[in-house]
Amino acid sequence: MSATRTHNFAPAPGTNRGQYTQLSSDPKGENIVYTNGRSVFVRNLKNPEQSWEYTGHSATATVARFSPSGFYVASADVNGNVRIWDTINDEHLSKLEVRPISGKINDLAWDSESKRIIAVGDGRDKFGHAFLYDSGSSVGEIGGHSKAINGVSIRPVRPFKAVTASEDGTVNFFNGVPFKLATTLKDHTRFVHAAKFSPDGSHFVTVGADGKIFLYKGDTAEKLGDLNVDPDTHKGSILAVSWSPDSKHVVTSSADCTAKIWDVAAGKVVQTVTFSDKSTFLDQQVGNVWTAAGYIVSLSLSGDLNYLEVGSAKPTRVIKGHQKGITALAKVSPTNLYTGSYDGLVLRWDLTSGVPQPVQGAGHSNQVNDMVSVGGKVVTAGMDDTLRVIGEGGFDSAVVSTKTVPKAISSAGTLAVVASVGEVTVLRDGRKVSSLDIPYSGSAVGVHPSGATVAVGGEDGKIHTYAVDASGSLKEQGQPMDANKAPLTALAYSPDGSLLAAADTQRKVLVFEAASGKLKLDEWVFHTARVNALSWSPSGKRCVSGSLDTNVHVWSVDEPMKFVAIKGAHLDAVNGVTFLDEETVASGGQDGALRIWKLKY
Amino acid sequence: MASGVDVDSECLNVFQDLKLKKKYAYIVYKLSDDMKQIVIDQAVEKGTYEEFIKSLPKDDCRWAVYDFVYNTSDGERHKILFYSWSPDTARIKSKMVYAASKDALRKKCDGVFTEIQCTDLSEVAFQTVHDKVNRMSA
Repeated sequence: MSATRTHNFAPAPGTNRGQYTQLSSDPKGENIVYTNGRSVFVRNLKNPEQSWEYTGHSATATVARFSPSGFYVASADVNGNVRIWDTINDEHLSKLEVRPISGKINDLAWDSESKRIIAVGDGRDKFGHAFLYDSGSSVGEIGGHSKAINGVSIRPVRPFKAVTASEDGTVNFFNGVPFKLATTLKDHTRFVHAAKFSPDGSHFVTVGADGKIFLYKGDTAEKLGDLNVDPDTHKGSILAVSWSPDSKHVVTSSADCTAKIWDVAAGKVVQTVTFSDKSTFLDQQVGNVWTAAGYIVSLSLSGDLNYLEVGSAKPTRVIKGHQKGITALAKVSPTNLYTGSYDGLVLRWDLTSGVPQPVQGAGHSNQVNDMVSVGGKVVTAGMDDTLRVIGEGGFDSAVVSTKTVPKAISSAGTLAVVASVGEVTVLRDGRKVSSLDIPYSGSAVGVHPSGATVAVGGEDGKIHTYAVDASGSLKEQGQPMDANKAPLTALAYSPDGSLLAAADTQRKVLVFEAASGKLKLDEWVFHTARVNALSWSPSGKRCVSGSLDTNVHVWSVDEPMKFVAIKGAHLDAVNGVTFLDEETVASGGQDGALRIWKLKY
Repeated sequence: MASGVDVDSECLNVFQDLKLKKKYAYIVYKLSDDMKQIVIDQAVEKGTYEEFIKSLPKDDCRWAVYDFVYNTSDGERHKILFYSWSPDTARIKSKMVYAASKDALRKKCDGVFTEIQCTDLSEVAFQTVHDKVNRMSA
């Protein structure tokens, strides 16, 4: 009776418009490190379906960086906490937890000996702090700025120097160790976004919102010039810069929807990668990293990770993902899934490769509330009061509008039934055939596998059953089932149609006999918060539920008190679960990740 | 005896048998039908924890004493536990009277390790109780 995680499909990095996003890599350069929500993700660049996460932060994480030794990661969040944790054990034991500044931390830098860390950001009394990684004691003063600091870098060779890039338009140069202000560089005219030392320590570059790329000598901070004078210049704010491992090139990412690779000695662009002909803000480039293994990755505002290469005017590979929590999940086949998220993005997953593709066409403008597979197609219900159908080529242009917000959707054969606030809508082959006004607020729906009966759960805590006639009209039958004392959240008929599982907001999953409406099982009460999703196994002997308490439980009909608990399956909440086969479960959660679990009974 | 309910003397005798002679695995107490007296619902000599859970009614309250047996690294341990079973689905009057009368019975039962208050199966499950007992004896 246990479950093991076989796959962890990470979400895309979290981004903010007009702000840079910190990307970094492990010392070998094979994995990329980024944050999304409270989680830190470490993801393989060659096989992006492989990843692991760290979930120790209690607030939105902003930056994570590997120590040059590779044994520790320092990560920080919007509350100013820096956590240093080890990478060797799966538990990621905490080495140190400090709060160097009293506000959002924007950037962290390790020195090349993996001993000192500089954290910078937007604190109330100071904007930066230098400290030892093991004791937290101070190793200098990071001062001299009047506004938040955006970026920091430490010279990787002795004598140690440090540079900070600030929103007050200045770059400060520090001597070390202990770090002490040496010079203030006032070359930029607007926000400075990043400052980076080259790996050999000979130079550093700074980039800013004024579209300038200044190059300085690494030991004296003597200005060598502006790179962005090549005729082929960036036309907008430059948000990120990274050095190549050989210290000869830099890559810059800009809000003008391009990334450029520069030859530093010649001061020339060697490659421009354009992401969009029209300036759509989703293609703005907000972060980048050039890893030791030679991968160049630039991040779009949409969360796309774009692999760049010298000699290619287009990204050689684009990895997409959810940036926001997954709110709906639909299984088409054991290797094929669709997921929808809080921001309306719908992705199609081929689980054999683990890399998702976005569904083409006009989709939902905001949260996807529920989705279900109907005879080869997928019907989605959105917070924008529409139902949309996904076929082979993407979203169909035909849209079914509902009078009120559709909350839940369920299907059998070619029939799909939608429960919305005040209405039940019946679709056949993706077209609306009938609807029925209901005097309560519908929040869950289940269609009997025969297609002849529909169960609708309401926020009144009752399950109403309706008969479906040949024309698709609904007629209420019998007394509502009222054993759930709280608003219903999910309903599911077992594959043979004999049982109906009902989940509610007061953490209960009850099982009824479908024919008589009699309560059969009331032992499935081990969740500690609202239950969000239900799915039956193909045999109908087991049922899986996902809950706000972050857990996934796999229940057994034959032994109701014995269940498999997957604790902490998703940070914050589990929003969607489905059986792929009798021993495999897929789950999607508020952390934006999709996970596959192998069960052993 | 806040509710004025009296405890049948047999209740205590059975408890003593469980505690001193280890005669019973568990005892379930209830209020008599006229709600005047606490009486024995059942006293079971041999029974598993699953059978004990099944003996708790779904829609009415009970008290129970269970001789909880579990294994630690140092060997087997016995703890006598007192359960107050009060499911959500019970009638409100029943829940009120049981809560008000609990002390009458509880005070008479000397040597109880701890009380378990439970409103549904997740709180009475072996693992939950085991964790609590372990935590308290650690």
